[in-house]
Amino acid sequence: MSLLELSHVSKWYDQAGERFYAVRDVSLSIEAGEFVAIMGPSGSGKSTMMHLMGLLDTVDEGEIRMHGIPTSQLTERALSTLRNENIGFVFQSFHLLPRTSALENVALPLWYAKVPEREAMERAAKALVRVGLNPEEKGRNAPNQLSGGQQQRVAIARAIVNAPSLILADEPTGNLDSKATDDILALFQSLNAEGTTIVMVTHEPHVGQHAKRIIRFRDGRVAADEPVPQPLQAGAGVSV
Amino acid sequence: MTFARVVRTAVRSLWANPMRTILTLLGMIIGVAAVIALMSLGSATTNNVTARIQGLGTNLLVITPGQSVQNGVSQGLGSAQTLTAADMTALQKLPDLSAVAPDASTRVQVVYGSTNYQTQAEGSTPDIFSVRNLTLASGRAFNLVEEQQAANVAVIGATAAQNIFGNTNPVGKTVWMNGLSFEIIGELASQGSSGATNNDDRVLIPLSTLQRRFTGVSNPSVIYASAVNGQRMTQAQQEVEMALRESHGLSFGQSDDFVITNQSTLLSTLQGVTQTLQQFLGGIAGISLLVGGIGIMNIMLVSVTERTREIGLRKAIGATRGAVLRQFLVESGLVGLLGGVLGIVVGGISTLVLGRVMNTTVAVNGNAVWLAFVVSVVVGVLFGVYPAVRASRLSPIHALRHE
Ligand SMILES: Nc1ncnc2c1ncn2[C@@H]1O[C@H](COP(=O)(O)OP(=O)(O)OP(=O)(O)O)[C@@H](O)[C@H]1O
Ligand SMILES: [Mg+2]
Repeated sequence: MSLLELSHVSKWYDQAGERFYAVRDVSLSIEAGEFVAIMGPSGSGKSTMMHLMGLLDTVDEGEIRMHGIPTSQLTERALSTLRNENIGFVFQSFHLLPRTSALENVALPLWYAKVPEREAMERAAKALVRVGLNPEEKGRNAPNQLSGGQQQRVAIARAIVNAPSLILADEPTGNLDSKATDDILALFQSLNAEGTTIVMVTHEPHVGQHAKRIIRFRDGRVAADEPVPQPLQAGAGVSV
Repeated sequence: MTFARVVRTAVRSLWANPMRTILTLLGMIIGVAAVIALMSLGSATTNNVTARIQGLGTNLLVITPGQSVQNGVSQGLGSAQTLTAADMTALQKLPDLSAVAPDASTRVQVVYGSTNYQTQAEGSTPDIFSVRNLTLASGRAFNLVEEQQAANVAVIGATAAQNIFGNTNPVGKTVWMNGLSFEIIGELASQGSSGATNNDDRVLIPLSTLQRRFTGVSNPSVIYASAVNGQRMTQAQQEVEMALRESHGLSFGQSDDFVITNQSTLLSTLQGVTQTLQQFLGGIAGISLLVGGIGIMNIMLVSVTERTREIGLRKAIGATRGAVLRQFLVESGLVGLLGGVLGIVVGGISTLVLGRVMNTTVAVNGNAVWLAFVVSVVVGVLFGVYPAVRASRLSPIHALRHE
């Protein structure tokens, strides 16, 4: 059974009497253990697609099944729990909480999962280490005391902290230099090797080549969906 | 999320806008302080009134002449001269009365040395001291012999003594009253005022002396009687009524031509009045608490709008509706709680200061403190419900895309 199965999914916005399709009649499935890159021009519906896959947004047409369960039937409470326990998000604009330390930002999903305080802080610190941030050094900094790249890493640490089976990352390397990009891709590849399913939006072909499969969007539709014959391996020497 | 975390988050977001939080708190503080100060002063007033009336004697019955009706026109209370010496004799036989004292008074001019002072001369029998709970600060009361002989002796009230003699002891001094010489044999301890009358500004002399030397009228204008104890008040009052009706020769169906005032009924009436007043003041202060609550609601709505993205993020990573609801309720409840605590402090201080300014003994009313505290927390939570529900209903993606 597929991890995610989208059948004839559409999402539209009504604007000035006209119906604008952000996603139009998309059918695809993502298996557990895949590493998928979603590419396409700006405005082609990539972020919208991610939000639908992450059960943050509701479809206007079609159905999304997660592990075979039709998600349109689920209550809001069940969706919250699903998101909290199974899905890790990295948003295009990081969405870190202001006036809240990096460590606490990372621990947030664990708190909502009712993980005991001490364990939550330990796991948050480990997640920070995994994205290449020293919790002793930067853990107490609030987001406005971190560089853009560091904020990006904190956002990624928050996405992986609850060991989700699915990570949805919207431009996770958008603010990083090539070295940091390589670090993150290595992290994703190692998580993927451990069995985590990863769906990543990117506009950089080089980054996309690290995935095992690329889905190209154009005007809300799937324009191409093909495996990557030989995925690039992100550099060694990354703390994993 | 643990409750401690929820509280920490709430404190942090309140702290993020200190000025706004303080202004919102101020609304609650003023409301709570007003409730406490007004209710404390109210209960202090009740206590003072009670203490003063009890000081006058709770076993006391006051008998005054009723209305005299002339040509069908009522002449007002006390207009008749219906109390007589015969009434006194009748009352003295009643089993439930322990003492009876007639009373009449007139204005007199007191001269001592170069001091010239106008005061009230009150004539009565020695029983007046026990009936009216009068205690002597120095000297002695006049006795039956002096009463029978219409002796020119006087017991002086504290205010009158102060005004005539200053700080020297008046006992043993001789003064002129309306041209007659009187010996001051005692000084009354201060009783305080009841309403407009100052009970300390008077001289007490034997009733016979008053009648013979000053007024010439032989009827008392008031009779004071004390019941044997507080439990026998009602019986005592009935006995007095029967006795006076008989002595006045009133037939069945004729109404009383005298009025009996029962000090304990007076007390409960007055207590009722002051308590109503207290509740009324408390109610008015309660309205300001309500206004404070609306302030909380207003600020919480602003906060929800400002933090839309934060709410969206929290929901995206797994916060349920309930968790978001709880977060905002704790935040508004915290404002109520803080406002309550600070309001209690401010209210307590202002009660004490007001008590000092008004020169009365006040104590901070414990009930008011509890009431104000509980109400402020409840107000905080209740007025937070609407904003919190709004926050919890936000769709995560809508909130995340919010600018
Ligand atoms: N709330 C909305 N109302 C109207 N149109 C919207 C709304 N949200 C998204 N859209 C439109 O949907 C389309 C797809 O948006 P989306 O954010 O998915 O693009 P994208 O592929 O992620 O672009 P980028 O690479 O720039 O991030 C865009 O044309 C956008 O204008
Ligand atoms: Mg996008």
